[in-house]
Amino acid sequence: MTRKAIFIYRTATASQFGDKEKQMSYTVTSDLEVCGKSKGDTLTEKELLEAGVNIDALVEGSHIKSDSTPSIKPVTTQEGAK
Amino acid sequence: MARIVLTDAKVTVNGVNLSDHIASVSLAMSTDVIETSAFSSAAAKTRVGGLQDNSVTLEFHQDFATSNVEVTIYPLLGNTTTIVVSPTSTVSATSPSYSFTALVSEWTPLNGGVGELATASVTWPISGAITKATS
Repeated sequence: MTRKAIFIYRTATASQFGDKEKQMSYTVTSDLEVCGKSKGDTLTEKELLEAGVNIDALVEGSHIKSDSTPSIKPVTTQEGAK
Repeated sequence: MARIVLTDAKVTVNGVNLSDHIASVSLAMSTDVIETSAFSSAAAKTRVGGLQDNSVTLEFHQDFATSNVEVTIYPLLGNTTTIVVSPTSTVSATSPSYSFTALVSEWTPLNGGVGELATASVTWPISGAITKATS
């Protein structure tokens, strides 16, 4: 009799972060116009990338701030699961 | 066609409109001249255009305030960034915009003498092509 062992690997994918990751957005905090938007307006990550700007530099310069920080929940396993 | 006096030129650096802190803008475009002269009856040199070599020169009024000149440019030093310049703030067929990627190769955070306005004059080489738009 032959025994077969089946291994199931669970891989983390981008989808585990939910919609927050897909719709990353930023609020203009600068008194100056950023990518055509004024203070208080919202810019999506897509808009910023299409404009070819350096997002990190804009955040560092307090021109924009991230609206959401994706939270990563730890993977929980069920008791007795193999 | 009317002559133009620059009073409303627009300059954005990394998406930030810094026009009210820029006193001078110069977009210089040139092309390498490649000689193609060969033996012929015409005793004159012949040439074709080679690679473009462009640069932008800006004169900033330094400002260390939050979300202003210094905090916009300083993080970009050594990196490329997107710059858009136009002769007026409204882009049209008679007031085109020029978009390009420039290497922030120099920065002078502090420059000026006693009683003078703190300014920073920079010339940054352009990496890649310049895109001209009229809308």
